[in-house]
Amino acid sequence: MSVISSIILPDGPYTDLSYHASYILLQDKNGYTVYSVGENLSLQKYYSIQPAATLTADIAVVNVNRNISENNYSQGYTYFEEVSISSGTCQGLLITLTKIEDSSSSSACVSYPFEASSILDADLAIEYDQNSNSLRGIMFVSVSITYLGQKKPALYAFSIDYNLASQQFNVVTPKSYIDFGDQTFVKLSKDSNGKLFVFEV
Amino acid sequence: MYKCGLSGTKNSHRARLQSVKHMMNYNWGRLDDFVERIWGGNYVSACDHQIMHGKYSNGENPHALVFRNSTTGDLKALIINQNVPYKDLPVVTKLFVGATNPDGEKFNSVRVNLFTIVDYDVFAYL
Repeated sequence: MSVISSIILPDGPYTDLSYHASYILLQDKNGYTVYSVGENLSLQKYYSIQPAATLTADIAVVNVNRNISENNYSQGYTYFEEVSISSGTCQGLLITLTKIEDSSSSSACVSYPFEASSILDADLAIEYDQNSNSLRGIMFVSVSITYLGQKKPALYAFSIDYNLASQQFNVVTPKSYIDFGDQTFVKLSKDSNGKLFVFEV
Repeated sequence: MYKCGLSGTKNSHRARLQSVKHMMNYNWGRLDDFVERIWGGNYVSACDHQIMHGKYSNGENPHALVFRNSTTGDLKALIINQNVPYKDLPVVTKLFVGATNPDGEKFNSVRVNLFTIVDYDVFAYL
């Protein structure tokens, strides 16, 4: 079993960790499981998915209220992000955001300009954007491409925007690869004005 | 030498470049700048004026986070990756990102890198 992701406490004044959602995402042969961290660091199974065609899974705290304090932190949400290949009626990449607090979920089926069998790795990150009242993010997919008879790995980047009011996705599929690489990890970061930055390795 | 103005750095040349196994890159920039390139079908390279791009180490399975050092005020990137044995590193990788301490670290061990990175405010002037 390996640790895929864990929630890192967001910025904000606090003295009692119970105000914060604490989750750990683990992966084993049965798939991904989200555990909530309870009293005395006990783990409680919260949400699990089968490994079938899942490319990547992650959890993210989305603080809808920017003025985090001990009393209103509960207005932040925790999302489980999942990307699958050609699942059910979706003949593309299926991006699913599940709000862990109430198990509600939304999905988008996204076309892609490469063969599914050529996918090497993927990662997705989202954050709350106050200006657009949406969850904005980016997904990198590493793909083996052939150029002049030679295979090389390349990174495709997808832009993701999920409007919280209309519950509609707007995903932009790239026209070409943006960089090289056979593995990818993407993380979003915010400046003091809430502007989103991407750190991708 | 300022290489980004040379004709060889145009897209036609770049398309012939190869990814080097176990050489790890980073990209650091505003989400809106990434989105603009996705819309336009453009590359991100070391010649990009808005997105910081470079090679920093060899290894695999990179994970990272950005945080501010509360003492110095510096913006930092903490990057964790798995090591790759010296014998598995291609010559080109050793050439560009080094392997000055061959197998000094145990196989399957992890390496932690800490960088000071370009602060948010600077991007407004790029």
